[in-house]
Amino acid sequence: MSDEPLEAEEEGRAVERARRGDTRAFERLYRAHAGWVYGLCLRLIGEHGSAEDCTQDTFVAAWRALPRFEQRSRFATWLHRIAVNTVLGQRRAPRLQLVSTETHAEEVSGLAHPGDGGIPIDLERAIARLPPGARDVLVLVGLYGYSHDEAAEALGIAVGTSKAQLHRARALLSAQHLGPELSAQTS
Amino acid sequence: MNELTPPQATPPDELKARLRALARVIQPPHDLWPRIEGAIRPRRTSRWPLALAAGVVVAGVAIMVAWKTLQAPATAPRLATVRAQPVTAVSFALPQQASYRKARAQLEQLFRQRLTLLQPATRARIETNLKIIDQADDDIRRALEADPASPLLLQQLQSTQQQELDLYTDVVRNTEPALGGSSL
Repeated sequence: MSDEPLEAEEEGRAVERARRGDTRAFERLYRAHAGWVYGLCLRLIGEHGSAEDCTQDTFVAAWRALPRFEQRSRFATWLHRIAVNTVLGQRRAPRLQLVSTETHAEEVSGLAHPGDGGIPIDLERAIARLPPGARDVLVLVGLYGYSHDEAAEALGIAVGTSKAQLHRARALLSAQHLGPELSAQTS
Repeated sequence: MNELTPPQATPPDELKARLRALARVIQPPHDLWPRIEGAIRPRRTSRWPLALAAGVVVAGVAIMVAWKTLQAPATAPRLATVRAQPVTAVSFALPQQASYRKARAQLEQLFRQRLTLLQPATRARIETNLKIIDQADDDIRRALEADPASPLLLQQLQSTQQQELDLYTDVVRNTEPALGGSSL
């Protein structure tokens, strides 16, 4: 299931075929970009199951919007923007306050038990524990190479806020004793 | 002897280097293509914005009607026959979480149960309002198919979903049997 990169010309042809309804071509685009989109969703959300949902929703939304995609920007840039909007849309959507004990236990099981005291913690976990505003900017700018202008536009915040949140995120991470990476799923 | 070691900060340069070293590509644990393929066939195309605007406005009115309907005392005599669902913990669930879907399904199930206890005329009005909300939700989703990054549409979808949840919650609350320790 590793990413199967596409040359720019090949990707352009796949996009064009997918725009005309060719699902096989769209699958090719999915195979080429799924890892990047999932990584972005996972870093922004911090939970694997929800990141899978986010990835699926992103590609479904992209498929439905493809007829309007005019290839003035790179497909990857357009797709990642949809992924960020999917995350933000899910965060803004209604929350339910009725949760049973069983459900609550499921909810908190994912990223519990951060490192305390002198016990080092995994950098990925430390990122997942950042406040959402700081985490969003760190992920987009610090990891995925967005400019502050791009991150601010995607997140609906001011450029100055983006810079301040990045500084805050780095300060919060620097204050922790980070141990060796534990994630075995990165590639 | 970790428990005796004081917390240690990570030097900024080391942090930057480690952030740069993180993989940008992370493969999903499962192949998501079958789910995606199932969701994208067949492609639907349509012109939705007008229906969307009308649907949201009507849904807002419908909620008000439903709320006023629920204030009427006509539903009270039959409430004792309803068995309340115990709520053992209160927390928040986000829409993308399995816990959200489960909690929402539980709330909707309870709403459906309580709905059957209302007088036919009241029930019919609430069901009509719910259909209007569902239509608005459907219209917005189809509009999002054409413009998935639209903040306006996402906001309207959120609003419509919240209206539906509010309607469920209002019905359940207003038909709540007098049992100690149970609340929504």
